[in-house]
Amino acid sequence: MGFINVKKKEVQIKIVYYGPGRGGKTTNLDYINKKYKQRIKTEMVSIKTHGDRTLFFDFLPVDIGKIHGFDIKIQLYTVPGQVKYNATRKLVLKGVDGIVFVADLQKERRDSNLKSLEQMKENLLSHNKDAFKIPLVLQYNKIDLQNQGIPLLTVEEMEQDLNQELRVPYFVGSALAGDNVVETLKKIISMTLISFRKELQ
Amino acid sequence: MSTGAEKINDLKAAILAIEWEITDEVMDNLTRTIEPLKEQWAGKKPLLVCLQVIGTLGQYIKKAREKAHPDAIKLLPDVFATLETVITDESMDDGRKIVLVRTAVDKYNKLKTQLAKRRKEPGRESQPVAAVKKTGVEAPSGAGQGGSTIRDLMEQKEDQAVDGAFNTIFQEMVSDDRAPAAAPAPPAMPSVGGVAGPDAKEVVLARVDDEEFPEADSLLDDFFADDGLAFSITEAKAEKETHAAETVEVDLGQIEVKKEKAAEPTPPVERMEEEEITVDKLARIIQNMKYGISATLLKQLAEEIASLRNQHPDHYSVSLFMEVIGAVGRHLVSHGDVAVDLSRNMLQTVYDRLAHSLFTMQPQKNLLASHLETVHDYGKWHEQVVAELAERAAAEPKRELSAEMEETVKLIVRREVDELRKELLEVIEKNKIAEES
Ligand SMILES: Nc1nc2c(ncn2[C@@H]2O[C@H](COP(=O)(O)OP(=O)(O)OP(=O)(O)O)[C@@H](O)[C@H]2O)c(=O)[nH]1
Ligand SMILES: [Mg+2]
Repeated sequence: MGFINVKKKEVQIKIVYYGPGRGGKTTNLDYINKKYKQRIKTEMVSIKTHGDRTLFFDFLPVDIGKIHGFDIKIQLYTVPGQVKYNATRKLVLKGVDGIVFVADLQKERRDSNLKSLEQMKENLLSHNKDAFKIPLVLQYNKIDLQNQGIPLLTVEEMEQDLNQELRVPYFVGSALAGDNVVETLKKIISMTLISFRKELQ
Repeated sequence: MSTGAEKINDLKAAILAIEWEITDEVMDNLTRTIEPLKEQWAGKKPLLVCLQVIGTLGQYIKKAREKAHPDAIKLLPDVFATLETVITDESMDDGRKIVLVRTAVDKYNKLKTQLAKRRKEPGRESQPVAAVKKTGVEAPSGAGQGGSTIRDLMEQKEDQAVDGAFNTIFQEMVSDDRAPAAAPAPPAMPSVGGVAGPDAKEVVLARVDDEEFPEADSLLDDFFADDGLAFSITEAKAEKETHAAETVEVDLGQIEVKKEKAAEPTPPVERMEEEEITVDKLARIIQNMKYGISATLLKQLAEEIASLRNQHPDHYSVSLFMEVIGAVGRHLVSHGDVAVDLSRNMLQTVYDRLAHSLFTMQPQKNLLASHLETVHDYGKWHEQVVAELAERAAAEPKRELSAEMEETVKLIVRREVDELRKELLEVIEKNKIAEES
């Protein structure tokens, strides 16, 4: 649930990056944080264990400006992808307005992508939310690995596995190289704002 | 070696899987893949030593889980790579192969010593990594291999209790969400805040397909525009490297200055050799900040946090405290005049919690509470910083707005005006049609 404060003319939106462990969620946020450092002005917080695994969540607040006089405040979160941290994932999903699901293109991660997406649907249900209704974008990440001869899934396979029923926008990208990172974020914010539009007018 | 090829591939896959997730299943699978290779290579000492190191590391990692020493997780693929070379490189002579294996074993021994040092406490003899048995290649002789000591057990208990408590709290928070009554805000989530409140309205968002929102799109285009901010991964890496280089330069500079004075080079401090994490220096830096915050102090703070962080990667709360101190420090570097007192207090409070958790074995609840409080305080601090920044921007818009921001604001205004004009034209057009008919 986004928050809209008519008196203060503020809108607060929570976007969560979700997906299997080591899929590239934190890397997405790192890229955004570095690239727009001067504009973001605030600090990114991430709590990592060794090997850069997210332990609780990463958190990056971004104020993007005004629409119809409303300040748009975006909060970006990532969840920890490791299987054992589902309680944390549920917690981070609380009050989510839009989700970026970061899937890993590596063949070996096929099963993890599927499991993670299924669990996300369940977790959303526990918050009375529906993956079929909430603004959602898929990112098929690590496409740069194809140049290194690492076996990757094709976009068709990814679509078949993850998006056949959901039918949401997807981006093939590389969080490491920054390919389609910004596009993904723009898309999810824009989808979220569209759902908000009636309130803004 | 063709017979071994397949089995060694299994081993490779098993080791790769650890990269992703340390679960019992993954670790047991590693043990399983080792067994047939042991039989197959009976008598081939160098290969067996590699297998043994891999097996022992695996057992240690399984036991220690995410608290395992990062080097242990790194060493695993290293040793495997050695093993692979020894098996597949037919051009390499046996002497060279033995040297390779010996190097791997040396690395393992170094890690073992480090772990022993890290844990060295009076009455504490347990070795998280068991020693490799003597074999043909000089294998390490293990130091003491006692059972768990009291401290061991206490640490374990504390960790488990904290984990358990967290899970309970998370569960409560999550189930609160389903209850119709207003749930208290979760303390563990930072939030910019300020929006929720009596004037705030909650909006449940539903996906709207096939619709456009040009105002939103143009705002997003503006915010995420690439003007001059283009940033590629090569630059990102370069930036990191320069940063590292800078730090090194500073260190060298300091050493050189000292050289001039004392004519005697000061050896750089070998962090890895330290047995205990010491936060005395951090205490001094934060203490000194009370009398004024200088660029030098902030730099020292950043450096100290960077080095401390590496020493204690496996303690969740300590990592959190350090992250927060680091973030507050970075804020002061970029906005040295915003929320200064608050930030100073924040540094002191979090430092106190850090020191406390390092030096005392307090009842577990305390650590959990200060962990949650810290996250909560961080949220509050952040809120205040953002509010003060916004206030300042509002009070002195001309001076505060950078040219870039000004340009962005202008663009937004222009777009809004355009939009209005369009609407106006539409109204006029409609009126015209109405008049005509
Ligand atoms: N080649 C390549 N590597 C990537 C890409 N994105 C992320 N990685 C790497 O994958 C690893 C994991 O990335 P993270 O961003 O930490 O993954 P995460 O999803 O946050 O992982 P958890 O925090 O454990 O859930 C890191 O070593 C990244 O450098 C990518 O697009 N291409
Ligand atoms: Mg992460």
